[in-house]
Amino acid sequence: MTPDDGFDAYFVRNYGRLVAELHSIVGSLADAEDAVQEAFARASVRWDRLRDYDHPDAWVRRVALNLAASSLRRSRRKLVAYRRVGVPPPAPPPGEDTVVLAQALRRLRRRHREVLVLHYLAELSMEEMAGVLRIPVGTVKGRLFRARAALERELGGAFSGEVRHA
Amino acid sequence: MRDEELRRRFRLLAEPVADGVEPPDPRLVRERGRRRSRRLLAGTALVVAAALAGAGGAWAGLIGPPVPSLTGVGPASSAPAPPTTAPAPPSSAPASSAPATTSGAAASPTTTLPLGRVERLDAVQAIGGTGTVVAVGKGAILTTSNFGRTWVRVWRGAHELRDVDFVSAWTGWALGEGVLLGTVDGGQHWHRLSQPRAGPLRRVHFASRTQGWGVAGGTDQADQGPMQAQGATTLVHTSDGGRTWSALAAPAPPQSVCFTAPDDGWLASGTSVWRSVDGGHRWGARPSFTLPAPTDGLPAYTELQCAAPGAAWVRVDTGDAAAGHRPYALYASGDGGAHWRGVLGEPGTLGALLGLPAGPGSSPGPFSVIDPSRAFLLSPTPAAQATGAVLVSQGSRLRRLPDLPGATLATPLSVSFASTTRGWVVGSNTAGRAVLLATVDGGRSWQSQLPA
Repeated sequence: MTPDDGFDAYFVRNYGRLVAELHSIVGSLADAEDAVQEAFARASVRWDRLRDYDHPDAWVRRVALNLAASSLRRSRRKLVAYRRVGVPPPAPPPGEDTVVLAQALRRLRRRHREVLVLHYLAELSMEEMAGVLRIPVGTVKGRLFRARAALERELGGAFSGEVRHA
Repeated sequence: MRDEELRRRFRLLAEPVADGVEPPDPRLVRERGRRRSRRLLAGTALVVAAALAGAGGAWAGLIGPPVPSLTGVGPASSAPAPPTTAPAPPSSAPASSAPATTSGAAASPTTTLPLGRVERLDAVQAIGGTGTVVAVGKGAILTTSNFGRTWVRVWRGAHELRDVDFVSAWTGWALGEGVLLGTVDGGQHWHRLSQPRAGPLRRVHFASRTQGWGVAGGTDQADQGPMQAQGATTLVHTSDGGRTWSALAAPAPPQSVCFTAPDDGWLASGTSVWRSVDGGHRWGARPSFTLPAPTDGLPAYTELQCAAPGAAWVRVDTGDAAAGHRPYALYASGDGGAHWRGVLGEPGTLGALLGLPAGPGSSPGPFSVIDPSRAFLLSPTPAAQATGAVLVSQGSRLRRLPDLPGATLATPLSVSFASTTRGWVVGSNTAGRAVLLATVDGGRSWQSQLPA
């Protein structure tokens, strides 16, 4: 019998949100779901400790990001192989805002996508991002600054916001 | 575009995804986590060992050559079964979960250790069909979780460990001179457990994670090794996995004991075997078995192995060595001791006297019970510098197997078969070096699992 330790409710409540975040970073829904499910699976066996954390999702998110990164590295190797034999370029995107944003994200480096998604979608503070990514806060700030600049270039200069150092 | 606008667009991007995905059943996610944990536990030691072996051969390691016939039998990282499903070893009791351990008394901070040189190996146990095998010896506990493709050392210490008893792939004990160690995680961590007041433990046999019986005290028997006592030994029992022991009355000073459950146990002393169905409190007025031959008052030793509830095998060693022969005989019962059948005996002495089929050598060697009707026995012949082997099937049918030359195996100390085909033996060769051999063809051929 499954123990009622709160894991199931936590999982159901947060699954979609974390998949959406991962999807924004890795670009593949299947990869995002797989990484998030695996992260929750790992969380389940140490839930007696994680549930006492202030934010268990920080742990789950970090594991999912690492898993997605591993998956991405595998995919990149496949992509390099495809390019050698000449894969046709993707069709130009339609003009809706969200799709434009999605396409712009695709063209950014992964580390830039990560900080943008964690900052603008997950709405994490600098310290929280540093914890998830396991890098110093100063590095987070610098990386976010460069990510915003890169996103602005991709969006055609329509970006004029400033990073709010939470 | 300001920050708030960017946040809005990120939300617009993410919300359809978040709303569109359906979380799977949390029970499946939990099970995925449990499977991974089990896999990791079994595979971690293997991976570390492989990494060490691959790091330039700096370790005088135990990564032996692959056993040829193992190919295709199972996944390389076959994990041990979980405690609730792991079959009990043939010679042991029904599988169970975990032994109690003394609080915080870790014998050593054991993770996977550098392999190092193995000076002596004294006992081996194959744990059912799990692929897990444990070998113990001087300062070492070695394990494999993949039928012996790779071995790792999980314990290093000062003691020489002489016996090993696992009730599942996770839960087991290792016994040495004055030390009893227990593990609940497949050997990754070992905890030092208590010794009885009656004296140091010489034999233990556990029926579950908590219930165990042992032989304590007595005096060393020089020609049988320090763990096989003579004299005033005491039968002891634990119900907390070896944390505490209490003495039980025995019909005679015990030398060997085994239980498959509290209501199914056997005790051997001299040339006799008694049976108990109440956890060892009562043993009956008369022995269930007594060797039907005189021993001329010489000390005899009887080794017991349980096969299943009501089924046991006994090897009697009358210790009367002369002219290159040391008498021994193997008997078995499958009906709770109502009837005993003579399986084989030393051909020049006891076997001829009792009219038993000939054993494979001139001295008693270790044996391994596979099930109530099948067992494997080794018997060295020192004069020929060889060790004979025989597989018993259908209760008493003998299949003589090729002898092992002394350069391969001169002194077999322990043998354990997981099935009629897969077995392991430890001991030493004529050069006095530790030997760990594996067979995948029922003893027709053997491969060393230690580096040359």
